[in-house]
Amino acid sequence: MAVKLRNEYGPVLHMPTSKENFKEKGPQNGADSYGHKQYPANQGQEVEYLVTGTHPYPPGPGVALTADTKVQRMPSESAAQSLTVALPSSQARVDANRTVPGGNEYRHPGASDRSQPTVMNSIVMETGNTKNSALIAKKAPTMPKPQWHPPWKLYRVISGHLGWVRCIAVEPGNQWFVTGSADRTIKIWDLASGKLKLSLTGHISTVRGVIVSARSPYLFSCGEDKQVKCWDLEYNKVIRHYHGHLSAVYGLDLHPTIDVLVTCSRDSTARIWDVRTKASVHTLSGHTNAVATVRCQAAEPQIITGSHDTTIRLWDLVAGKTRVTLTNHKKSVRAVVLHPRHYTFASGSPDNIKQWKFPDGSFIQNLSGHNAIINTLTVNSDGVLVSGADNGTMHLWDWRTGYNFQRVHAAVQPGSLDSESGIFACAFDQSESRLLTAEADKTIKVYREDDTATEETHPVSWKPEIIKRKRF
Amino acid sequence: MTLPSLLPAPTHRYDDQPEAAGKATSQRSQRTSPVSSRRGPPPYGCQEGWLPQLLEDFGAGGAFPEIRTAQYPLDMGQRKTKSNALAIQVDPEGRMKYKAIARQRQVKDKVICSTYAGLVPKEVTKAEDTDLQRPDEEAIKEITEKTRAALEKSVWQKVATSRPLGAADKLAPAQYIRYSPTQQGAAFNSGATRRVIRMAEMQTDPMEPPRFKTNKKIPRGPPSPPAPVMCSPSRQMTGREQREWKIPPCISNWKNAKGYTIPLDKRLAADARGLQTVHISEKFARLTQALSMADRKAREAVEMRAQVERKMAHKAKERREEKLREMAQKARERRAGTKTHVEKEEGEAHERQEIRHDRREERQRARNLPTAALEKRPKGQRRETRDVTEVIALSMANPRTSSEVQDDHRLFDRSQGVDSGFAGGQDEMYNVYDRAWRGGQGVAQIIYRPSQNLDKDVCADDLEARIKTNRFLPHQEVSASDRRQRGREGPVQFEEDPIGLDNFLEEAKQHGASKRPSESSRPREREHESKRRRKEETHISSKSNLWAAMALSTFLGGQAGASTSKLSAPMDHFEKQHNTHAADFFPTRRFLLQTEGEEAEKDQFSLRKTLLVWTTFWKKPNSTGPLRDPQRAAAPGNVSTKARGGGRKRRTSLPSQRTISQKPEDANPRGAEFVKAQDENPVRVPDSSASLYHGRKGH
Repeated sequence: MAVKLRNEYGPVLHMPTSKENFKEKGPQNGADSYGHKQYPANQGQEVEYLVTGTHPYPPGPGVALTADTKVQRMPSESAAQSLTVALPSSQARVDANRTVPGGNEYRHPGASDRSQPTVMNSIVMETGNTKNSALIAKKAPTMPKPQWHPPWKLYRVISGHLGWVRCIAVEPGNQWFVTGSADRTIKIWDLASGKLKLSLTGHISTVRGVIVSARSPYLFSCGEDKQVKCWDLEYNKVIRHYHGHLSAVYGLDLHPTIDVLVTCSRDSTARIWDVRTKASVHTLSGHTNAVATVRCQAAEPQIITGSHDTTIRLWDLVAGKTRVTLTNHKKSVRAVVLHPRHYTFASGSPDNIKQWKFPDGSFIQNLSGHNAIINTLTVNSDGVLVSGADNGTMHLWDWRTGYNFQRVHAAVQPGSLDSESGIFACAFDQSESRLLTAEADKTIKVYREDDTATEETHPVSWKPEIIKRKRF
Repeated sequence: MTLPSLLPAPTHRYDDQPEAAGKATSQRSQRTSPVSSRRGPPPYGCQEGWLPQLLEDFGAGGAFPEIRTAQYPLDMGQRKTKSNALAIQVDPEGRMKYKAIARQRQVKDKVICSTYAGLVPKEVTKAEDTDLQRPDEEAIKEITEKTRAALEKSVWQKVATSRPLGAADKLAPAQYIRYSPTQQGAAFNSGATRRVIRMAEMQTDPMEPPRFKTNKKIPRGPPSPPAPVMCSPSRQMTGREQREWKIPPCISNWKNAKGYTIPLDKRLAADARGLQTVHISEKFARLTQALSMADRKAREAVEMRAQVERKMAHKAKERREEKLREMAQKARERRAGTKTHVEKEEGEAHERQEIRHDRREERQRARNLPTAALEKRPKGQRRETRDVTEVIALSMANPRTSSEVQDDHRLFDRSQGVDSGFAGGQDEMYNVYDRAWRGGQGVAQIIYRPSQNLDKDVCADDLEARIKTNRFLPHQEVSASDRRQRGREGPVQFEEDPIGLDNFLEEAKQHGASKRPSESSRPREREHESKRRRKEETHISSKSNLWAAMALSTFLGGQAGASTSKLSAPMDHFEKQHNTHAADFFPTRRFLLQTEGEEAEKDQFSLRKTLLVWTTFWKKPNSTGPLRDPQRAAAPGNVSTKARGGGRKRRTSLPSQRTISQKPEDANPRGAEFVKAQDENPVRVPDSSASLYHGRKGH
């Protein structure tokens, strides 16, 4: 039959195939291609979203993803174009468009806010910290050269959850990581192979936060069912419930040095629990809207919360009172991340990512350009800040200078709609060589640094330039 | 010499001073000196330089008009509201400290940013800047310890209730207090100058429930004042942004509670089906193509195979037939050698046979003609010629199709009241219907009407005339008979035998069985016997008598087998005489026996007599032979007046069993013969069904 088919319907048979070939060739041949090879090497001219094709995925369930079994699809040109059109126009792109004829006057997004304008000198003089400040002519602030970071590329997609993957956490031993999903399960995956090790069921609604304790063999999880659970990983059973939240619990964190768990909830409170006795030590009330994120640290202030009431609060753990309220954000703060080495932290909001200094929460700088609802922030000790947004875009920044060196928008898992791309959580593993993102297309995507990239192949497009004053 | 004494008296009072003054006064008023015994204003005349400042300075009275100063007796005229204005604070440079506004009512250690510098990005610093470094280990450890202690304490208190009870708290040691009363004397304190009091804590019951209710909700204190907003107010939304955020209202295909009219395009827009493009892999098409082709191939192959097989079978059959034909030919040839001359001899007979055969066919065809093309006739005609059963089965007799009004006419007759028409409410009367169902063209008329075409050959064209003809009219009318009025309409109704025919037959049976009448019936029988001989010549010749007799004979044949044999003998004789067949004469299943007249007794008697005559007459055992009696047959239609002269009309049709079978070849010529005879004879076939039967049977 096959022979006959070929004989009789040869032209028809080959028609679709040739079409596909054409499609696949399209982006590579195209003059303004959005191929996945496009790394912001020429970022000065056109900073575009990195539209990758689908990640290589195994041809069927239960088939290991290897080099010879993988299936990979490149997006068609039209799809890529529509995607980029749908993406919000970043400052950089706008700038680039404006300055493309000139070609060399690129102002990168993160740097635009950093200003110490001369107009401000009078104010400084007035505030009068030092009398001399008024007399010394202030040096015009220039942007320092950002540190070069190798770009990150997608290398593995782990599919297995049946719902949005809402949270992710890596074990301190770096053997496995844990994800919580909207399918009400918590899954534990092998970090090296990406295989599922364990599924924990018990939540009756979306799991919104997971964290693994470094001080005990415990896993803590919280969900929209108002429950905060403590799992004993030696028995894989729930051993404690922390009961008290009046609404969905959106996030949790463990204190690094004290056996204390902090959860934040939609009931606009954060609660501090004694891990062992399950007692609620403090109820941190003060936010006027849902508290989206909470972070703990050993140094003062020990608790930082970000809320949908657009404020960030730094709390005194001993007294259970607000120490500082930061009201600089205009939109709800859904992500807060602490720098592992510096005494600073960053907060993400749809308007800006802002960096702050501890202990008083003094403002450092804005990292603008990620014009989407930022769901998650994470940073590694190398100073790579990753912001993942609700529309599936991920930006990678240099922490110190706020230079956005890479933008990624990974394609969704096949079978998902384009609108189903979204990043809910991301985390570096303990060795900081892998970046795990929990996505709305029910997958976990794993990125790693591109080993082949060097500063020559992917140069930092930076120009020491006097930074324009930014209005607030 | 003090400074105030040197200074001139103040000319103005500051606006903010009254409050301070009031505060001072209230403080002063609360401050009570235990030694002061003075109350009220000083007496008049001693008021030089005195100013009323306290409430008690006024006593219970009013102001002092002679003292020129603002006075507020009973706090009348005092400003009640407290100002929340802050006292101006300045920094060492003498600048206003606006920060105080932000810090107002805030906790002291709270960090509040109140300067523009807090909004401005800092200069990017080196990574090794000291202010970016985390606190060192020592500091962190210290903080941790402090925090842990505080939290432990807090937790300890919180979980105290769940802790198991330990030993009771140790009581504090008793205290001894020594005191000496102020009132000394023998009358007081039992004359003691000093006392020692032992103060000890009372033992408390650990299980005692709390004495005071602590479950009352304490209202929450006021929240801490808001922090200064450090961002510009959000921009006004532009029209474009608003349009982008416009979410079209949900348009349901199932619910529209408010009943809005929703344009079709909006409905389509709400339907998300158009948004998705369906991608179907070309492989599907390929697969379908391949499948269909394979299917077609397979079908073709199967068909081809079947065809080949069929051809093979056909050929085999042909071969077999050929062989058979050859064999037959051989056999025929073998036989032809002997039989050729015989065939020639009988050629003439064969020819006649053929002619006979042709004619028979012709006749048959002519007879079949009316029925054959029944379906090809026009509709109305077809409907007319339908069989009755067909009419009913096809519900053509449905009364509703007729246009007649379905009203009960009695309801219109209200001349004597509402219930007058409807039989006056009499339930016993069975007059539910005001008139017969399909009274005009009732079923009865259809049923008992021979179909024209079928009977044309039997009854010629004068069917109507025949139907109208009253066939069984007596020659002489009995006075009481009301034959004229009662033309039979509708079916023959069966009645229980009113003349005691059953009893009579019983008797007859008994006679037949015993051949000797019982004691009671013997004289009568003898009498009958004598009468029979007399009447044999007169009555039996009449055909109508024969009719009755035959009816009874057939009846008895059905009822009592014993008497049948007796009856068959005279039938045989009869047939011989009339040169006709009994079956031709009594073709019907229904025989009419009409006995009318006043003298029922006489009637009965005569009938009985007749029967007895016949029972004795038909004695010969030959049962089914044809009757031939030309003399008797020549005089039919003479119905005996006695048999007919009953006072009451009785209609009794007796079902007869048809015992005489006919061969179709025989029946046809005889039927034709009979028809001819009927045309001449006044005696008719008693019922149309007879002709029906004849027309159909055997063809």
